[in-house]
Amino acid sequence: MVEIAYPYLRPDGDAVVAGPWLATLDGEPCVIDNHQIEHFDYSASLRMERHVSVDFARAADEIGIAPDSLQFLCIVTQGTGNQRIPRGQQIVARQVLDAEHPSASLEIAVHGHDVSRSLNLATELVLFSAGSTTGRLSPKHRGARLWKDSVRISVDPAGMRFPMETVSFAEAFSEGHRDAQWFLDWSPQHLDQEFMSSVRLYLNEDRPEFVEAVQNEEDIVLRMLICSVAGQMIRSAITLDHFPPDHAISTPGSTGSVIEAWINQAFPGQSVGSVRTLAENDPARFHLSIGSLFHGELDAE
Amino acid sequence: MPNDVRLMPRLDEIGVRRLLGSPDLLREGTMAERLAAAASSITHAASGGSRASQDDLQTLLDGLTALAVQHGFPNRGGATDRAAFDAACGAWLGEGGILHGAEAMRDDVWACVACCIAPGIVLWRFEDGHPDRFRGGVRNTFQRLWLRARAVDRGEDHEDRWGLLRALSEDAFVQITERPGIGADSNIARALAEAWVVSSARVGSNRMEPITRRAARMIRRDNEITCLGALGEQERLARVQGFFERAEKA
Repeated sequence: MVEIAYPYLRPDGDAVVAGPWLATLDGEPCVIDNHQIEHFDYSASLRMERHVSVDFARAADEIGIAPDSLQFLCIVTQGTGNQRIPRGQQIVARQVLDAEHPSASLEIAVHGHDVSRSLNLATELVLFSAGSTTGRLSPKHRGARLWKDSVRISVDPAGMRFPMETVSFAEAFSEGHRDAQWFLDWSPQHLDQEFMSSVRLYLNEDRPEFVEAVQNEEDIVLRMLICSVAGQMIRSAITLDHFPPDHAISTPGSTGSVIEAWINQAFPGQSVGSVRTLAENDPARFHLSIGSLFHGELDAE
Repeated sequence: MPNDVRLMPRLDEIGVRRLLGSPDLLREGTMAERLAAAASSITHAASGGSRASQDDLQTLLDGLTALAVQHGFPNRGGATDRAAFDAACGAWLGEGGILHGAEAMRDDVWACVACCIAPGIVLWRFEDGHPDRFRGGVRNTFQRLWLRARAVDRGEDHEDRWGLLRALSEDAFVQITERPGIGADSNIARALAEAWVVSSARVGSNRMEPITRRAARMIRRDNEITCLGALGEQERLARVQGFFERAEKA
C-alpha cells in the first residue's frame, strides 16, 4: 500500500457522511454479502445508489477556503476487470456540491455485459472551485482529490481467492511429477505483472485426498500450503535486482507489490537486504517468520 | 453492445503450456485440432449469453487472417508492415464484432484466441514466439491491440476515429497499456496519446521514447493527487501537454 503525501490540506473524514450503497439486481433488492453479488452474469441489470453529504462549514475551515466560494465535485468511478486493478474505468456519476447544496444522491446503472470479474466503485470528492480566498496550503487546482471511499464487489466469487485450480499432473507434465501435490506457476522475472493473472497454484487432481483437504479449507493444510507458496516467492524475490518494486512505476496489485506486502507483514521494519541476510544465515528463523504470516485463509489480500 | 453476448472459450494456463509445447500444432494444425487438444483446459461462462459457435470463431479467424494477409502474412512483411497490421487489427478489434465488453477484458479469452484460433498470426507478428505473446495479458498479441483501441478510441462520430492507433509508436503504446493507472481510463490515455502526437511533431519521433517515459511517470504521479478523469477534455489535454513539455526539457 503506497501512502500518498498530499501537497495540500484535505478535510477530515468526519466532514463527509457517506451512506451505504444500496443495490437492486434485475428489479429486486439485492444483498451485497461479503463484497460479493451472486447470480450476476452478463444479462444482469444492477442499480446502485447512495447518499453523500458534506459539512461544508467544517470542510471549508479544514482546508482554508471560504465556505461560500467552495465547490466540490462528487464523482463515482466505475471500474472492472481483474480483481485488484481495474482494467477499464470511467466516471459514471458526477454532481457539484456547494454550501447551499451540500448533499448528493448518487445513482448508477451497471450493465452485466460491462462487468468482468469485479465491480469497483470509487466515490470521491474533488475540488471544483476554490474561489479567490484560499490559504497557503489550500487545494487550488480543479480536480484535487480531497476524499475517497471505494468498494470492490466480486461478481466471480471463485476469483476472489488465491488463484488456483486442479489439474491432473500425470496429463499436464509429460516429464513425470505425478505424485507431487501442488505446483506454483509464476515467474520471478514478471514481478510487474498483476498477481491475480500471473500467479496460479495448481493442485494435483491425481492426489484427491490433498485436493479435498484444500477444498474443505482444512486449516492446517491451508496454512502449510500458503506458507510454502509465500516462502517460495519471498525467497526468490529477495535475490532479485529488480526487487522491491519502484513505487513510482509499480502498481498495487502487481506480484512484486504482493510479495513486498508479505515481507512487510512477516518481517516488520526490516529491509529487503536484512531479510535476505536472515534467509541465508538463519533459514530456520526466516521460515518461522513466514509460518506466522497467515491465519489459515488462502486469500491474496 | 448487442443483447446476445457471445460467450467465448477461455483457455487456462495449463492449456497454454500444453499448446506451447506442441509447436507443430501451433504452426500447422487447424483451429479445430487445437481446440480439441486443449479441450480439458477450455471453459465458458456458465450463463449470460450464448456460446460462440464454430462459425463465430471461424469468422474471427477469417477477419484476423484477412488483415494479416494485407500486411504480408504468412511469408512477407517487415517491421513497417507489422506496425500497420497492429493499427488495422486494433481498429477492427476495437469495433467489436464478436469479441467485446466484459469478455474482452479476460486474459483467458485472449489466450484462447492466440493459442487456439490464430497462433499462425502470432508467430508471423512475433517471430520469436515468446510465450507472453500467447498467454493472456497486456503483451498478448491480440489483447494488447484491443487494449490500445479501447484506450485511444476517439469515438464513433470522430472523422479519424482510429488515427491515434496509426500515429503512436510501439513504445508509446507500451507506456499506456502496461500502466493500468493510465491505460484503464480512456480519457487519460487519449490525452496522453494526443499530447504525444503534438510533442512528436515538435521534437521528432526518434526522440520520443525517453520523453514519453518521463511524461508517463509524471502523469501517473499527478493522477494520484489530481483526478485527471474529472477535468474537462481541454483542461486535461492542456495539463498532460504540460507534462510532455516538461519532459522534453528534462
